Amino acid sequence: MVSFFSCKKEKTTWNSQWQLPIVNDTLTLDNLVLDSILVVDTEGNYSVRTEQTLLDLKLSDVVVIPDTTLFITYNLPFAQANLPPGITIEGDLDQHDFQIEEADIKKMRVSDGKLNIKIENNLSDKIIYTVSMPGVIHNGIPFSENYEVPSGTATNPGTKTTVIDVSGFDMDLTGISGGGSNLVQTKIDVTTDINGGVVTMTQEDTVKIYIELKDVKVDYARGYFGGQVFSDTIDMNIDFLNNIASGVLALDKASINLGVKNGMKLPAKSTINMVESENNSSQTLRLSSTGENGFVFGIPFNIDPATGSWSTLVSSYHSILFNEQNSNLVNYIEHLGAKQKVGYQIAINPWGNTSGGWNEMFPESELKVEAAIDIPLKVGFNQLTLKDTFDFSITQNMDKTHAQKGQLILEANNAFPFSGHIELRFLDQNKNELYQTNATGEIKSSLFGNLTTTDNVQYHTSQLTVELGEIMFNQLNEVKFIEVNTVFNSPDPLDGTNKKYAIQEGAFLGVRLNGDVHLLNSY
Amino acid sequence: MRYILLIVIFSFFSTCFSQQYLKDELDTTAFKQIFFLNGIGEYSGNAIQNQVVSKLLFGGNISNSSIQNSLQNHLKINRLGFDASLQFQYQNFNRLIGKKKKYGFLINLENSFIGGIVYGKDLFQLVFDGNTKLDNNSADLSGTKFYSLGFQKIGLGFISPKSKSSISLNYFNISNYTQAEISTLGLEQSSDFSQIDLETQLEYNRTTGSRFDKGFGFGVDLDLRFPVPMQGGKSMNFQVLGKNLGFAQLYNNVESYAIDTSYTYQGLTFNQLYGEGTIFTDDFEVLDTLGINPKNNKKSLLLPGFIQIAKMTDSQSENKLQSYFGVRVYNLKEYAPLMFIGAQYNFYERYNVASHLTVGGFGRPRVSVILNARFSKFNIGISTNDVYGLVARKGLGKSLLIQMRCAI
Repeated sequence: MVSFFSCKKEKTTWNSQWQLPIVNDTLTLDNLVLDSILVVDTEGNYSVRTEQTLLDLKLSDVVVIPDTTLFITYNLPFAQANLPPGITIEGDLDQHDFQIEEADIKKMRVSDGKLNIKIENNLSDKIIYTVSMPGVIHNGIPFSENYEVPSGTATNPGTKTTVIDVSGFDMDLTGISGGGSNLVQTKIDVTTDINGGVVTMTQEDTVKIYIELKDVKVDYARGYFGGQVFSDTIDMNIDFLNNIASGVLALDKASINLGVKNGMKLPAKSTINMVESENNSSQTLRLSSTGENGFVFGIPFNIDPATGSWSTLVSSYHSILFNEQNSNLVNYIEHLGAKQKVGYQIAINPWGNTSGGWNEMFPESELKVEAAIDIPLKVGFNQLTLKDTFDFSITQNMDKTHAQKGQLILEANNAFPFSGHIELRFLDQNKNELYQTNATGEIKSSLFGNLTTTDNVQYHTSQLTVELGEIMFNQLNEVKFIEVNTVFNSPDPLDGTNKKYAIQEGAFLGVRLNGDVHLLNSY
Repeated sequence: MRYILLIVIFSFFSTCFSQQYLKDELDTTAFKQIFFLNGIGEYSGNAIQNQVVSKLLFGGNISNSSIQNSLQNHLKINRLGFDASLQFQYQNFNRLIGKKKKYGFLINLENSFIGGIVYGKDLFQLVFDGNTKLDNNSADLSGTKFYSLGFQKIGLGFISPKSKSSISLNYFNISNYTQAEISTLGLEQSSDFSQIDLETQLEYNRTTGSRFDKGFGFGVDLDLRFPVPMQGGKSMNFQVLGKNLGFAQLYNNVESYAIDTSYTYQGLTFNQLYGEGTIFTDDFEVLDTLGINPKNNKKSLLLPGFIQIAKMTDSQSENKLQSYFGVRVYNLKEYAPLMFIGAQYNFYERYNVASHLTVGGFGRPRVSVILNARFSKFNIGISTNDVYGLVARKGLGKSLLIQMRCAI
């Protein structure tokens, strides 16, 4: 046994060196921001220009038609009658309240919805019921349908059910008088079977009719839509800004135009209570206005009704411009707040029913608040630190062939007028640091370069190495995240001070990253 | 001591390969029974020095200078082979077999391992040096062939008591098999290592799993000995020796890769590194990504057999000096035909020494030495097929063979 174990083979090992490409890619501004919001100005420099909808109130938000079931009963007006075959007893015109909250609707057009009708008959012969809704009009014809309901008894009535698609139906909800609102008219006629016998009907016999209006949406409404108030505080998160750990961003100018567009024929009043941001340091900053733009936070402004009708509808428009002259907008953006809050209130018909019940909304009517943002990308960085963490998982068996040490070799072609210094942190599952290393040198700003592309974009080529020592490779299996910290500056090539520079059209960052690894081959 | 260990390790703890002395001797002495026990451990090549191979076999760190020394030896086409076996044979000369009861019987037992590789210099440089110092930033691995087989053998045959000619039928258990053939494998890389182009067409098969029996086979061993008359009424004794002439069938546990593809790699994009479905996700498999998937197959193969035609020495000869020569041909692509020529000198009644030159096989020309001691019923021989390699760190192989014979 002793000799056996003494013969156990020692590990065979040797070193070999390998260099392989890891990353070869080119980043442009399109990779960093949506290309649809990038525009090039007349001087050939980039601006971010985009429109964001902050609020969009539509007819369905203002006028909500609840599901409503009309329960109609019909009894003989006298004690008993023997009804011969084929005779019709006309019912009375009746009206029922839709109970639409907040609004008094006189007329509406249904864009989607169903009418479920169920009739119960406890007479001894089948009966034809004629259901009429005089205010409900389809293709110019008032709604009236005949339903043949089989015979039944009081305990087991004959039933008839039907479903009618009411899309495109016009509804006059002014009731029998023509001056009401939210009222639907009905009329039920009863006809005995022409081929049947005499039907005896007493006051005990009740005809039950259920008319259910379900899932109704309207695309036109007229009436008084009530004094409704819509208010909210919108929370928005700009995730990208969460990656900024520290440092200063400097902008030259910026503007945001808040446009309030009212396509509803009703008056409204709006208040923007606050626009606030909170950055990574938990510092908050509110957007403020000097009032030169005719706007003060917390003070309501009027929104005029739209004019015209159907194809001639013209929305009213109210514009509030924030820029570097009339607000602290530039500071607000430089604050780099990832958490944004907007508090607002919109009141419709703020002065009551001043239109005589003639608010009107058409299919394209909406009350919309849009922000048109324009930020020329003439920016400066001062130690702006962007921190990004990505998942990483590579395992190696230290008893077998494994990487022992190495380095990353980075060649960067930078056409942005900013320099960057890179630090890598290798983190474990709990994001504790296992290893930290810095690149030798930095990615130089394009302003230091004298090379140009065929499109005349100036760039500078930098070569950096990042040493990865044995300590890192010994702990490689524990590395679950890599944190890349890049410190950006925008130095002037002449004096080194950070200044604001415009980003040239076609700017790019070409990255070629090689890994140079010393393998310890082992078996 | 290490070389004895080499035999033991290969024979018992690996799977082993059966060789046989190149030189054989005719002994017409009438015995009733003979027991043979042969142990062979050998590797040889034309380029890789012992200071590298010994570390590969016995462990230790292979220094960069050793690697560079071996690298310089490499030619366009290089070979490295290894074989080891422990072989037992029982010969019974009681005439029990045949119509006229003319033949005795024999029993074979063997545990063997053989392997070999034909390769270019670039393969050695890639494996032992990496890709940073390749000549012209390219490597051509085309034509590389690798083969290894481990098997166990049991057989029964009959033997002529007079001529000692024999023939036996053997059953083989295949315990391990690996084979690779690279028709084309060209690697080109840019001088700054920013792009690597691979063009490859190769086939790779290996048995998998832990079970001991991964296949079976049948083969024939034959040993035909006959005198060839010479001028002056004398004769020379020749031998036609065949070993392991047969085939094997592997069970459905052969993992086969067939790759015929060109691939250009310039690095990953940021999208491949960052976000969902990156190379760092747990289920990322390089071979899957390249579309390379193994298949499990059955496979038939020829056993690593050889035929040798040789002139033998004669134990009864009164000449103190006898010549011997021959040629051996394996059915392995990795093994070049081997020729040998040498002489034996009986310097004392019980002792002789022989030496021969071999050309071919896995390595460069080699000089062998055999020392043999003969007692009344017991013979022991020890030899090496590579005298220089046995003692020199810069040799290109090592060889040690031991044969024991007990005759009753």
